[in-house]
Amino acid sequence: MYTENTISYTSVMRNASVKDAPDILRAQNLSIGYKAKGKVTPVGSALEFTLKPGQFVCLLGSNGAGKSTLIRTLAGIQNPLEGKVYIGGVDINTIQKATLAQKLSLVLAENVQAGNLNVYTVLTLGRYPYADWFGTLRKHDKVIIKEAIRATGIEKYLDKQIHQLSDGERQKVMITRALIQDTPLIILDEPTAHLDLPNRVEIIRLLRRMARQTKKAILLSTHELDLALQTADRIWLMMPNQSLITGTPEDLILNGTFEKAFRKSGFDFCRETGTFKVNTLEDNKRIQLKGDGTLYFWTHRALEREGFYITESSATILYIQEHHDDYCWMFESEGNAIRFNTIENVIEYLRDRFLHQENAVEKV
Amino acid sequence: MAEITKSIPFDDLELPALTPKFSWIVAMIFSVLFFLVLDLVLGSVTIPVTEVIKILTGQGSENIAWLTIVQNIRIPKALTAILAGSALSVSGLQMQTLFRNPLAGPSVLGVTSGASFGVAILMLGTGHVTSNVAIRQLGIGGSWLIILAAAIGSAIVLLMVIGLSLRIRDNVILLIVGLMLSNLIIAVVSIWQYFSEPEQIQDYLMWTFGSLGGVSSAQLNILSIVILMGIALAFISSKFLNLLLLGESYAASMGLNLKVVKILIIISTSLLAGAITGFCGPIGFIGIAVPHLCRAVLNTSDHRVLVPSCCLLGATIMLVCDIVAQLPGHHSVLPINAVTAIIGSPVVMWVILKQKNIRSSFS
Repeated sequence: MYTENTISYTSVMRNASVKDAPDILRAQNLSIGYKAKGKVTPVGSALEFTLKPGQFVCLLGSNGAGKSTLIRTLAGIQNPLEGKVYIGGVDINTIQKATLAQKLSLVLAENVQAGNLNVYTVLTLGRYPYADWFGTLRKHDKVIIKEAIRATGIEKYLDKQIHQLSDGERQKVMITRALIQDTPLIILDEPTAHLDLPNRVEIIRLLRRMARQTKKAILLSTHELDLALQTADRIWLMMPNQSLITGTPEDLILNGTFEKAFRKSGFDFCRETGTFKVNTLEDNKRIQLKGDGTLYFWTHRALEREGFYITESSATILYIQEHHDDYCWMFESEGNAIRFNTIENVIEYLRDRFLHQENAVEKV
Repeated sequence: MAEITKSIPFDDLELPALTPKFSWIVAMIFSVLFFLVLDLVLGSVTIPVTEVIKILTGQGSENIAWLTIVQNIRIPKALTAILAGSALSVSGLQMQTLFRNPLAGPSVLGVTSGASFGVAILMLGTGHVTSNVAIRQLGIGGSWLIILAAAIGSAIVLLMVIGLSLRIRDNVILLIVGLMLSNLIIAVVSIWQYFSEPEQIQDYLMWTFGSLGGVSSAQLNILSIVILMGIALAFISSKFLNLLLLGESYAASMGLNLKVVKILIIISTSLLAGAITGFCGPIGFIGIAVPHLCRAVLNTSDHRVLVPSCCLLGATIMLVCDIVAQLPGHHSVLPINAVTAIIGSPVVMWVILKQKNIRSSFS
């Protein structure tokens, strides 16, 4: 496949090409975990990674893999067991809290619940690291606040109280506040944990747009595998063996890192679709499906849910027939054909049929 | 992307004003002045308003008895009421925010009982009787001693509660532990009383009823200096308190030094609650009720507004309580602690029932 003239494109070359972009965040031989009563419980060791301006990075890992611990360590809330975290080239442990607040801002999963606190007041708190004793807003501060409000589109509820907002709106306010804090790095700890799907999509799209537009580095931990794979520039995967593997989502899927990362949770990761296999297929249920397009996709889903192997080697065939807006399913086996108008009917029939088959097998 | 195109043009985007409803603040100032005058007018002897205003503006009065009553008894008592109302409300406000708990207050979390303990140690330990008369007899040096004992007593309890709060993240559990701590201290004081002389027990009981009338003009100077210091500290902390509304993690991520701020709030709260408890006895409910009233009335949680308005509203309510306590036209005086409870409890109930978001106010 390769000729002698082929040059393999390596990370060394990539580093050379973006050399002028300095790291916003860099970890060196970082070990994270807990110390309690002299006992050290590490959750991650010898971690090495960097974060560059404009990158949108998702941190993934199964529950208990140490996502939150890593976030807390990077945010300076928790001390590393070993190694160093550099933010803008400076060791995070030597930075004063007030200065650190000008370098990184944090958004948490927890719902901020403060009665009688209006949205605009929360936003102005974002200027706290720069403000004087009484938090007087200068013209410059107001420009930043306005820009952030416009970027996230929360003009409509500036005057509302925090507790009147929905969970999604409230999280948008907290993200706007982080933008107003005007830091080169924003870290978010499961910001979409309490949100429904449309809100999750909206928040993640918003964050990616922010990374692109403002050249901020944005790191978020999430359980949203699907969304992360679709949107992240890079994925950081917390592995069961306490290491952290970073890379482009597609690379990590193709080289099997995802399968390794989530193996212990008892799910199979499907490389073809980038999702978890939820259904377990049964060996004796085999069927051939013929058709195409949307109808094929959803019929395929329904059959898999019922535990069917979709295989071309089966003599049992389900045809999808489509004429303009009209469609139906034809089931063919041993010369008989039956017609169905809904997937529900197909499935009812198949259940019945294969139940009899099983019984027959057992009797023999 | 749709939301961007829909959004208001940059220059037209109006940022809301942060200043509160001015009319409410003005109303609060006037209500303090109104009830101050009323407090001076009413009592066992009713003195005409015109005479009171004459005395207040320094013109004196032809009736020497009235002049004496107003100058020597009613003005110090009214000023003590104003100081006590402001101090207890502001300390309650700070504690509610610090513990993120709507039921926090000096009397609930054991600060008041800590102050009582400090005073008890001073009084029972040095052999003095713990009546207000005795406090008055101690003179200026003694009054510093009382404030110090009360403030140290309340600071110790607050430090214990803060120490526990580092281990206990759940606010409800913390509140229960604080209540138990408070009970424990009260129990120790009562055992101490059990082995004390009967006169001392009676004096101590009188002290626990609370009284605004035991502070002399000379002691009032010291008390007001301490209270003003405490309120100034609270006002300085108001920006930190605002950050704490978002929770400790968010506050820390925005550059707040939690340790320094907690110490600042503890000092302020123990000065305020400690000094008032030392001089006036344990006065309940004001500390819990007034901050809720302020939030409900002004519809804000901004402490730069709440600290001054708690002072004004706290002073007003304390003056009202004092007017009720002295039973106009009668010679007997009700214990102020009972009056604040009678007025305060319905207020707390009303606020909790009316403000349905009280549970979500502090998570």
